[in-house]
Amino acid sequence: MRPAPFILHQPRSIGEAIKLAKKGATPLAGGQSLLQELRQRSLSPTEILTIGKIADLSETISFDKTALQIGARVTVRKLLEDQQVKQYYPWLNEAAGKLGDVQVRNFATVVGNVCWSDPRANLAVALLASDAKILILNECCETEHTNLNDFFVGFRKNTLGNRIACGIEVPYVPDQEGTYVEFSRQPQDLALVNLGAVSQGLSTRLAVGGFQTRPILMEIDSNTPIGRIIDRVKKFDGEPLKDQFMSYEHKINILETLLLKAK
Amino acid sequence: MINKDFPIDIIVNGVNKKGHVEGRTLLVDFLRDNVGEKSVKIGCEEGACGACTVRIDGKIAKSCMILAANCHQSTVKTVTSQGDDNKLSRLQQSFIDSHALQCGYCTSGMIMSAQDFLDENEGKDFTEDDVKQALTGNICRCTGYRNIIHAIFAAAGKVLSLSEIEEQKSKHKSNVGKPITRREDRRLVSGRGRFADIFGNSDDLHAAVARSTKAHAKIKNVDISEASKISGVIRIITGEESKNYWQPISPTLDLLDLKLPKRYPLATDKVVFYGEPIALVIADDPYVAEDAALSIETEYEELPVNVNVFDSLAADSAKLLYPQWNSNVQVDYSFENGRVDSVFEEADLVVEENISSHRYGAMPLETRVVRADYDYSEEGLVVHSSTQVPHQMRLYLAQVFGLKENRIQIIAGDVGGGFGAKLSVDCEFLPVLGSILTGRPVKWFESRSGWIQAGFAARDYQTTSRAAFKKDGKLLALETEIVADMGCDGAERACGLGMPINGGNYAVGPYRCVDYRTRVRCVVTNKAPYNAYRGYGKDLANMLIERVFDQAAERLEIDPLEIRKRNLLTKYPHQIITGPIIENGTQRESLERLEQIMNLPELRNKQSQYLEKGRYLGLSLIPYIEPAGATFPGSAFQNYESVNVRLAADGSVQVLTGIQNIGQGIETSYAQVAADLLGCKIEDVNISWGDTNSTPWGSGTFSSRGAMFAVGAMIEAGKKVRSRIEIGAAELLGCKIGELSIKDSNILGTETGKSITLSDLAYAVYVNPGAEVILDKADVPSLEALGTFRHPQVNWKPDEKGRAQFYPAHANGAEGILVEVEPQTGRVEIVKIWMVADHGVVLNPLLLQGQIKGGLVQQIGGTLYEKLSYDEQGIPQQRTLKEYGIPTVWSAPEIEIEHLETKSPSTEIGAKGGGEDGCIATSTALMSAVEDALRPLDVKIMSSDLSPGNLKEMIDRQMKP
Repeated sequence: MRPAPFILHQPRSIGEAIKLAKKGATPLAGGQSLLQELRQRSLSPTEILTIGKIADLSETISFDKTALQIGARVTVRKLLEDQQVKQYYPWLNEAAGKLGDVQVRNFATVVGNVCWSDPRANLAVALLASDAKILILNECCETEHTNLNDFFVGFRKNTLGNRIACGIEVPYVPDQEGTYVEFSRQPQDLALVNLGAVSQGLSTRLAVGGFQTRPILMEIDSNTPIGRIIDRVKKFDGEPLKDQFMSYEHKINILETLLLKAK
Repeated sequence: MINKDFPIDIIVNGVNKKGHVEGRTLLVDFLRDNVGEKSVKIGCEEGACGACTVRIDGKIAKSCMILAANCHQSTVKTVTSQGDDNKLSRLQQSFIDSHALQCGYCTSGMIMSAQDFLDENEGKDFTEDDVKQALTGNICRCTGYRNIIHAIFAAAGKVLSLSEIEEQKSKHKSNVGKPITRREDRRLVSGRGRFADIFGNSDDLHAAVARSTKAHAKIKNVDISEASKISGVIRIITGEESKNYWQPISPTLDLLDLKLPKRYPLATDKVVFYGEPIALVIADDPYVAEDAALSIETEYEELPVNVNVFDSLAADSAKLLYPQWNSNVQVDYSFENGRVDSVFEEADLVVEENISSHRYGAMPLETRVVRADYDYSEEGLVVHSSTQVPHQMRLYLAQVFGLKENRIQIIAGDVGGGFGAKLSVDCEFLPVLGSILTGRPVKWFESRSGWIQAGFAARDYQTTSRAAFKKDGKLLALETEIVADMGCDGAERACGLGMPINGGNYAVGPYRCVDYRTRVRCVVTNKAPYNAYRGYGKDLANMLIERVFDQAAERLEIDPLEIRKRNLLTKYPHQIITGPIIENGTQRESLERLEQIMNLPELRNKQSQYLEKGRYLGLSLIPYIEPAGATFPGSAFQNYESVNVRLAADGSVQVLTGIQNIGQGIETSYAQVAADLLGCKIEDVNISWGDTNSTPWGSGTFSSRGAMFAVGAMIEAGKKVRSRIEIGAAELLGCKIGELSIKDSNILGTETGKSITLSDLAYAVYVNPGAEVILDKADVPSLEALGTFRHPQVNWKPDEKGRAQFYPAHANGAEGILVEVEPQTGRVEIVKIWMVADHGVVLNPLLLQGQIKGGLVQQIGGTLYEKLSYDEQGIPQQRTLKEYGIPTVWSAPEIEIEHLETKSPSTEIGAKGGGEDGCIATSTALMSAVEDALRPLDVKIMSSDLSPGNLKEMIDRQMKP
């Protein structure tokens, strides 16, 4: 099938984009997730704004040893190929490499992947573990920083509202280490369970996807037993995610295996 | 109202293209419909298949996931940009040289991704995983990916091509048996395949189908008022109205005492499955047609839904799909021979397996595509269609529309995968009706979600297999019971009903056993129709017998290989107790050879070492037979095929066949036979197919029959032409017929030393001095002949036990698998597959191995990932290829194949047919290997659904205290 009719806007300025978003137009960056739903007609927005031609929305990655800045138009491929990301955030490189395929990574954007807010999206999980913030432009074109943990609110739902996301900021701590692992039916397939873990000293931020309609975040330390982590996942106050591929209990078993791998 | 208000000005393959598009127009549609770049293919609607891959400003993209308006002022390259001046690129040539394509539908996109990878890795070392990473976004349903991976390594100069490797092994001097690369590939690697979607004009109308959103319901009202108002809609036809224009669907199978639903292509009074067509929309734009189809409102009165096959079997009158049947059983088939009950009572051991096999299907990359063009002035209909059976299709169209068959022309070009699912005609009637009613050409390109949710399914068996054994492992008796879920129908709009019956008839398999009973019930439910799929129930038969051997081996403490060897056939011919006759074979030899090449002691040793580390390896060796060349009374699947052979005036040879090219390589393998037969160069032979106006009537492509039926008919025709060539040549060379040698299109008088070319001879026959002179002594003065092959091993006349022979040939072999299983996650990884296969004489090993590899990976997909499931309301749970679980390049394991060649005594060339065996033993072998891996945990495998979710469920259920 093909998308239902919509009005397409191709703004060239941020101001124009902010106005269109405020009126309810759906932003489209690389479109690699949104187009799928438009084609199935499971989403039929009346207006869409593409951000591809807005020069002021950055398409670069910068790193200054305090934080990594990822612009709104940075593709997953660019993240994957960035030498500083490879060096300082190897788990983000790992998550990006497991996302989709070459064609998708060439066009999908990092910010778009986060804004899609699928609870198993590789970068959503890996960035949540990284204590990343999403940068959102308010009506006055000022940048607001929102913790990803506050940003994700449900299945493909977030607090973006009628605004434009303009970047991701990932803090850098010199001694931090991280990992990203996932379980999918076939390699490079949709992750059914995934986790990102970033440690600083004894404490670890652990993000887990696949169990709830949003990724789960928890702080653990190096002595936290796996059983305790599993308990916290089970007791997470939210809406369980159902999928057709496996049961909740099965996913718990898989999480145990992934946690052992990640340790 | 369409607002094409976005200007687009782009460079496509170096040429500037301008136009206007809607905001929603996809780049793929702009490229195909506005630019005319039909090399860009559509296989899905979710960016999964990659058939639409193009390069945009240097980066590869799936053009179905990009808005055309966003490509304004971009540079786009497609596969058409490969190579220079009609010369293929190195990569394109490498695809040909390593047989990296079959149907060719995915090839355009595959080459774009592969070239991107090679460009980025020029001069670098790379691994197989690197190649897999590069091809992750491209699905191939035919090849099993192995040859594609090889072609990329070969293109980079790192390995020899597969044809070179095979050539080094080949001892054949004639064309038959040589690993000749395919002659059809040049157009396919260039994006010039003649698929049905390339035909048409810019002013063609487009069809879309409004489908049922209920699985079982009475239709109270179909409201087309809103849809009719949409600008661009030309005509909407509801089921009720359509009854005036056609007859019910012409059945594909009408045999045994099966019941037929007698449904129209559009539902009239009720719907029996989700997605059943309710109304047909004809519009001047495909987007508008879809808009209108989705605007049609249908009011239903819901009826109880049958989702579970056993519930459907026990259904009361309210739950009957077709009340006139008085039950939901489409056919109830049984067979019994010998003293089954008493043998079971006397046996040392009785084992029972209850196996369920889930629902999945062929899922070719190209969905169904039709362009129908009805001409009132001549009452003529020309239909371009993606079908395996063009002549059958013509027959069905004539029946349903009351048209004269001789006024209908079906043109079936390249087919983007069939695998059995394009053997029937149901939705294809709709665009034909559209063309008849509008008087204009109408195109219909089925959506992927349409195929997944309302297209064809297969497998889906619930079975019991009981076997009686002696202590020494001798099989004494077998009893099988099969309940198969036909969905809404397995015979009329589809032809899967024979699959479970084959399961029952072939369950004894390649073993000696005369005391046998089977019962097969084909039951309808409120699901999409049930169609043929590669393997066609031989997969089920294999499962039924091999799983009881596994259990018996364990309980009798006999090695699983040894118990099979004690029972396998060693003498031929052998009549299976249900009727089929196995002419000859190498059943036991195949298994023994498999055992050797797998090096079992080493694998068992590795298994023990892994187990010590807490890792679970498992292996299995499973024999199989591959019945081929199906013929069924009460259907157009006949026991004959006709071929026309003509030597033209320039010495070229044209072979016309009703067998359809669906990627199996008939333009090459048949040309090999024809060249040997007529003594001409292979490049002088052209195999023509797919046009009902030019080819002799033929049943078409199914059941691995071409190498027997079409080749047999070609030999028959070719011999007639050859004898006339010899008469004419003797006349021209002034020698005796016995003194001629014909080779490489040259005719030599061996005694006189004089020679002429085939071209000289043919011109002399056709023109100067003419056939009256040159062929005066021939039976007819023509260099053209029709040959018909009828397989002598078919016999439809039942014997005293009611048995007949519907399958004339039985290839055989054995398959070995090594897996690693993760019990915690339910993941199965296939480490390696080995095959020893005997298909009789091999026409072309490169092509046969391609078929085997493709079948293997299809069945790996079916066993480990693929699934069509429904909720309690009968709503399909999958809508995309990803959800369905089609195997990607990552799921193609290492495969090693060896051939044995036992010549068939019934075909002159000695071939038995091949193409399905990858699908026959793979599920069984995987079940057996996974059970072997999990033996330390005492887990029994009772389902062919080895997806992580289902396997884990089996493990947990059995391991719970």
